[in-house]
Amino acid sequence: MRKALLVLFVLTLVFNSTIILGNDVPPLQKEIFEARNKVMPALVHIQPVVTDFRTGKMVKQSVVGSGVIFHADGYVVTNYHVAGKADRIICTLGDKEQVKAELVGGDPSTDVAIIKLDLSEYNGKLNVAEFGNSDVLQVGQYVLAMGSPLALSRSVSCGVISTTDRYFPGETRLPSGERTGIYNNWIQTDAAINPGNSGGPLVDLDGKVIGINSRATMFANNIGFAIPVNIVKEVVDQILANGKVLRSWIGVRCQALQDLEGWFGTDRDQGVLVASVATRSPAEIAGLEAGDIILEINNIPVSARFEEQLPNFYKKIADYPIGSDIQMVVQRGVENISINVLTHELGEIMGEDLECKDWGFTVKAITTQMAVENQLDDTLGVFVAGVKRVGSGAEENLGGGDIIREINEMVINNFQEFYNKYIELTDSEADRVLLTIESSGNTRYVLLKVDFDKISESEVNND
Amino acid sequence: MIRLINLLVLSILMIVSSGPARAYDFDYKSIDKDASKYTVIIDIEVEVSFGTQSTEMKNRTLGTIVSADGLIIFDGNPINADDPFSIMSGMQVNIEPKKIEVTLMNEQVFQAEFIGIDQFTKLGFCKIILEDDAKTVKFDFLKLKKRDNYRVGEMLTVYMLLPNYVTPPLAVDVGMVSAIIDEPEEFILTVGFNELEAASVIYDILGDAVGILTRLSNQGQSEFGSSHNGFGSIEDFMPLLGIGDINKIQKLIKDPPKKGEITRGWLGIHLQALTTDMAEFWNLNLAGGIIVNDVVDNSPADKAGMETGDIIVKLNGHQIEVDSEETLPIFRRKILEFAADTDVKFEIFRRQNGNVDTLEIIATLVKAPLSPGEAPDFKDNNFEMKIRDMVFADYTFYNLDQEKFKGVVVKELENGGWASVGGIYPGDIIQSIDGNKVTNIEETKNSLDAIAETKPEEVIFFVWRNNKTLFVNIKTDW
Repeated sequence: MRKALLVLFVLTLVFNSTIILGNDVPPLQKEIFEARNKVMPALVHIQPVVTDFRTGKMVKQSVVGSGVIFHADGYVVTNYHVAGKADRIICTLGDKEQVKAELVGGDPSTDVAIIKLDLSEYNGKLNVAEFGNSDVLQVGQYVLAMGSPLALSRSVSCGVISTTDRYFPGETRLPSGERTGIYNNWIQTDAAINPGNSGGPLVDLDGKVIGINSRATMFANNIGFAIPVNIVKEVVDQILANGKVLRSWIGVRCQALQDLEGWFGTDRDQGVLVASVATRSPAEIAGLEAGDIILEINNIPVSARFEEQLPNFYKKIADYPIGSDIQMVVQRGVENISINVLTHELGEIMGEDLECKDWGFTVKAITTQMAVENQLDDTLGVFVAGVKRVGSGAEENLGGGDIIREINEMVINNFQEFYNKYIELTDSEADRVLLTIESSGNTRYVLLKVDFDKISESEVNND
Repeated sequence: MIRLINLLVLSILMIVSSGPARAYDFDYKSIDKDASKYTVIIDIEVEVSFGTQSTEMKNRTLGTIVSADGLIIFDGNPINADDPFSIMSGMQVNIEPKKIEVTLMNEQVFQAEFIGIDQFTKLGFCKIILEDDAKTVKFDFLKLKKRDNYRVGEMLTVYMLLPNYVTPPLAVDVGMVSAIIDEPEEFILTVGFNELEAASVIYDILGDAVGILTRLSNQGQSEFGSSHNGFGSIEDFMPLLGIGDINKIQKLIKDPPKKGEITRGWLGIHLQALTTDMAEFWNLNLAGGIIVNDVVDNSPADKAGMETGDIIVKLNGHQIEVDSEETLPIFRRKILEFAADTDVKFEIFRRQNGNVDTLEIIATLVKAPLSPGEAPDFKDNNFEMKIRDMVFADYTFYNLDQEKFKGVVVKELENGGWASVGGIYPGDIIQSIDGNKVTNIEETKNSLDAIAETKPEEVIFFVWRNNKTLFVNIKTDW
């Protein structure tokens, strides 16, 4: 009797489980399966070798991230912090085949990069995922995160959208140092996102990519962030067209007006408060001041009452064609005045790197943005990115952040001039090189003692 | 029989061990007689504050009366807060002596007032407060005997303070002269003493008080840009202690450094040591010198005509033998030790188009600019924040224009206070309050006092932080 009951019980179990896997799949499970089937084949496991110059030498490092194919020619979107500085890239596709890829372009400000798969030796069928619309997302909506968490490839996690416009006050920076998230808010989700998920798609139940997963919170459970796909689409279009994202820049930092409206005497939802104007920026040249409230740009009212509205305002300015003469109506005190600002190109956030192997340090070209951020008077010279712990630079107390203004008392205007001088002096095996250094407003000399015998010897030993 | 032999052996041993053959023989009876007159125990209560944190601490140390009216020296290092590294970015540790109690060896107890700490020797100074009816009291005090010709290997002794559960409170310690140092200053280096004994009186084998135990000053360590990375040096594990220049100590006793009062001389240049390698690179026949890297506008150096790139080779006719960053403090200290208003003669090499001209320049030093720790400050009890004036170092450090940029620095904040909750941070530079510009603590105080009259619900601060400005709305709760 007991045996019969057991058999019956087992049979029920088998029967039940066939129900789950059979035709009568519950609607939610079915939708998840369908969404999975649409995107999983386009999921890419990305293994770039990235270069890092911060330790005073060029260091190669193999990292792991995720990406998704969005174009039949083999274009894959991923994070800038995954592949933006890649030397070479190896990808594993949905069918576990491996192909090489190369970097097409990247945008640190939104943390988006595009790579192109080398399909010359690939015989499989390439699957392409579709982009959705991130403007219509709802809090609580089901989403799937796909990628390679902790390098475990082809993983799916499931959750809901926790919020659609997460704003991070203060400065968010990529591991390589660039500011990011300036032009977008983030989608927050509780679908598990771990290191390695970076660059992978966040997918809705229609099987469309609605975001690119890019950050998780350490020491927290299931607080992950994705870049909204509508931002990604614009960046992708620009990179495919120009190789980079072109943005206008005027040099203002703004602040939400909530809490300050009474004091400035503005109405609700009216105007954007200028908190800070960068020295020598187009905004300063045009006469914009901290405390000004921008009411209109080119006759269109603007407002940022809450900080979540700020990225959109910055984006609005960035989206004007470079060199636009934008007309602002500005409230200053009790007056409304009109100010015309000529936008400049935002340009590269960070400059090119060079390893000065014989001198024991690395340098970086100084971009306008680096000059603004470091309160430099100009972009002359080159930036010392890192100093090897043992080497000519370290011996003479050269430090990261120092600026090399002169070599042998000859002015170095830019990266190219530095490069030429470096090649010239290393080719001629100059064993004494005098650098004029500027750091925190002070100038000093650094006399490098370069020992060419020792360098070639150690290189032989290393080989 | 065996017992008898044992006894015999024992008595022989006793004779040997109580014999006169001790390695050194201080006459502690006579030293003690002197020392007990002027040695005191000091209990200092200090308030230590740091950013938004503050706490009280007690420090117990040995002191020495050095004048008949009750001036006392002690080791100021534990309560010294003037560290330029920590001063920037609001990470400054501020130590304020609140109460000083002095106990003489005859168990008389006095209150004392804090005077200041010398930045080179780190000697602390305080003075016994006498009641009106006791103003005529004369204290016994230390008389130092200047001595030359120390020998390496000779023994010295000091008193040290035992923990307060031990009686009697004092014990002696011995040390040995280990080197006679010439640079960066004349210094009799010792081994055997430890840092807790700093500022103690040193006695030699004759029982004479010959000096004060001080640290070999390394001004370089407390300057910006000190290059301390990688391996530790001997000073990290063992401070270099010994007998410093007695004349300098006597000068300090005559005119103790007062907190917030500056007499140090200032030239107004950024400087660098001319290494032998650099001299060689520039084809200069020099064993050392000072490279002038920058001349501060309107400074004594600027007015005297010094230029960026000049090399100072002589100071008041004396050759400068500074040839490394480590010896740079010698020159710095020489300038600082001149009083303000002193005329100083410099011989300068000026390199121009491959030629080297020799010039003589006379600069009249002025008072050194205040350090951030010395800047005048005040505490606003409504907003619960401490504000200080901006000083020269702030402008240099943040590369700000001294003419155009004005404000006051937030030195400290009370956690949970209005300012702290409202979003002000230590190190912020306040530029205006409710639209009124503030350029010094006086104006800030007036502004905040006026606000305390009208008691608004919100106050808008305009602050500078990390090269950017922003508005901060502080909600009040009167």
